[in-house]
Amino acid sequence: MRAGLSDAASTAWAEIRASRFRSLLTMAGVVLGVASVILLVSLGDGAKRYVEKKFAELGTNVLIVVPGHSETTGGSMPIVAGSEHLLTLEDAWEMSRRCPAVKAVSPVVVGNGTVRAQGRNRDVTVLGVTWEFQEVRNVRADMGVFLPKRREEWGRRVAVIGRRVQRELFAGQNPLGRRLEVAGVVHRVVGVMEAKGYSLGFDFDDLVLIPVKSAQSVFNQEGLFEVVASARTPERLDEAGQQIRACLKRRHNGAEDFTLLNQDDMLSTFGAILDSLTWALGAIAAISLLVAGFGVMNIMLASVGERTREIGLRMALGARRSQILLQFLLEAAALGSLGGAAGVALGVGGAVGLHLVFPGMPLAVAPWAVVSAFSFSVGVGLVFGVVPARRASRLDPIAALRHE
Amino acid sequence: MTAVIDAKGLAKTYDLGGEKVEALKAADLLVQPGEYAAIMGPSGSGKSTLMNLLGCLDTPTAGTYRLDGQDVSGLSDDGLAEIRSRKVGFVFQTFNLLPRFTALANVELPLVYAGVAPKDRRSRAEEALARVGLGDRMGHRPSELSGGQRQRVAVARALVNRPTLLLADEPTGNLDSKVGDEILTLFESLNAQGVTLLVITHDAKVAARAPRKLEILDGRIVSDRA
Repeated sequence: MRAGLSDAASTAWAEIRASRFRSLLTMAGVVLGVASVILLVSLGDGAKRYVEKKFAELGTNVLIVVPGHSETTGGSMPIVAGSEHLLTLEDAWEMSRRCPAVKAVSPVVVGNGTVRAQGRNRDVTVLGVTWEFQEVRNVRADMGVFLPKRREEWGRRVAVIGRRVQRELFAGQNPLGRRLEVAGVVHRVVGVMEAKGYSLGFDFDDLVLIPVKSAQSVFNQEGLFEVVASARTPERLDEAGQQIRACLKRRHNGAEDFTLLNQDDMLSTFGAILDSLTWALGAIAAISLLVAGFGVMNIMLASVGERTREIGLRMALGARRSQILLQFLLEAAALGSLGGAAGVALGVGGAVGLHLVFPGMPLAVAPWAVVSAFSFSVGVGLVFGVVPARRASRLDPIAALRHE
Repeated sequence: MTAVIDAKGLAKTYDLGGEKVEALKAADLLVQPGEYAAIMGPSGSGKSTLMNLLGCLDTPTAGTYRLDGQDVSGLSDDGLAEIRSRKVGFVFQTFNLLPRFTALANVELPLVYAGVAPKDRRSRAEEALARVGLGDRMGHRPSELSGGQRQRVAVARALVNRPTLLLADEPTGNLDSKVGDEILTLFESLNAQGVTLLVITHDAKVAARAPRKLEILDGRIVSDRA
C-alpha cells in the first residue's frame, strides 16, 4: 500500500504526542488494567506454587485415606466429600497388618479444643494419632518420647506438644511429666516435638498430639478423620495403594466408600482449584482492561469529531479512505500498546516491589500473563479503535472540510 | 493538446429530505493548460458545487467530466482520491494547515498520500516552499506564521505534487487586501510559469485579476469573458 504503515504510524505517534495529557489519561486505564492482570495472576500463580511446594513436602511415599468416595480428578475437593461409612480404628489396624507394601499406618482424629496447663489456656488443634504417625509424617520428639507404640496403649492420657505450646503454656520450661488438660480431660506431657512449622495447613509447633483412642473419647468422635500411611519405598506407592484399597473394600463388604489420595492426586486437585482461582483473578482484571478499551473508544470518537476538518483535508490531499482508517486504527492501537507496555512495567515492578516488602508472599510473575496482558491491551486498542476509525474513514470530504 | 478541464452538461442535484435541489445545471467548461480563470458568483450560486466537482471531491449526477483527458465522472472513492492526489492542488479560504505540524511537514503531506519515498519528500517540499518565498520559514508551525505566510504554505502544499490543476476557493477571503494582493501576485507568477489556475470567488476585484472570468448564477454559467 502506498503511504503505508510507517507513515500512518508516524502520524499516529505525532497525534498522540501532540495531545499528550489526553493520551496519558486514556492510557492510564490500560496501564492499570494490564498491571492488575499481571499482579493478580502473579499472586494466583504464586499461591499455586506455594501450595505445590507444601504438598511436595508431604513426601512421595505417603498415602491418605479419607472416608467417603469421590473422584480425585475434576474440580471438587475430595477431602470435604460427605461420608456415609466411617473409617474405624479397626480399618487402620487391618491396613497395617495386611498390606505388605505399607510401612507405617496411623489413624488420625482431629479436634479443636482448649488445652490448659499451669493456669494458662490455649486454643489449639489436637490430633489423635499413634506411634507410627512420626514415621509417616516425619515428626520427632526431640525431648521425651513420642506417643505409645502398643495398640493396648492407644487410649492412654498422654500428650506430645509442639514447641509453641511448650513456650506459651510452660514458659519454655521442661514440661515432661506435667499435667495438661485437653478439653477438660487431664493428660500427662511425655514429649515435645522438634520445631517443624507449617505442613499441610497444620502448624506443627502449635499442635498437641494425643493417642487416637483418647482423642476419640475426648472429642466424642466415633470415626476417623483420615488414615495416613507410608509405602515402604516411593516405587511401591501404587502397590501399597492397591493393597489398602483391596483390604478396605473387603472390610466394607466390597464397597469403595473411601478415597485414597497420594501426593500427585492432591497436587492435581489443588492445582486445578488454584488454576481456576488464577483464571478468575485474571478475568476480573481483564474486565478492567475491557473498561479501559471503552475509554480508548470514547477518546478516539472525540478525536475524530474534533479532527473532522483535518480528515476532510487529508482526503482532499489524496488520502484514501483505507489510509484514514489505518491512521486512526494505529492511533488507537498505539494508545493500547503504549499503555500496555507501561502496565507491564508497573505490574512487574509492583510484583518485585511487593516481594521486597513482603518476602513471604507467594508471588511469581508468569511470563504468559505478561505476554497475554500486553497482547490483550494491543487488541483492546485495535478492537475499540475500529468504530472511531471507520467513522473517520467514512466522512464525506466536502462536509468534513466545511465542518467548524 | 489535452484540455485540463473538459466538462459537458455537468449537473449536480441534491436530495434534501425528498426535495430535489439543483445546485448545478448542465455546465459546460473547457480550460486549456496554462490558463488562469476565475469563477465568480454570489453565495448559493453553485460555485462551490462546481469546485467540488472539478476538484474530484464529488461526482456529478449528470454530464461528463474529463480531467487532463481522463474521464472521472464515474470513479470510485479510491479512484477519486488517486486523481486528487496526482492532478489537483487545493487552496482553501481558511488555509487548512495542520496546526501541530511544521510548514515543511504540512507541505510534505500530499507526497505521503502520493506514495513518494520519504527521502524525496523533504527536498520536494523545500523546493515548493522556496517557490512561494518561504524558504526561511520551513520549520515554523502555522501559529508562528502570519495569515499571508500560512496561505503561501497552503499554496506550496497545493503545488508540491505538480498538479495539472490548481483550484483556489476564496484564497484571499481571510486576508486583508494588501496580503491578498500578494497572494494574487504569487498566483500570477505561478501562472506565468505554466501552472493552470482556477480561482473561485465572490469578490469582483479578485476575479478581475484573472485573464478569463466566468460568472455563475443559480447553477448556470451565465458569462465567460476573456
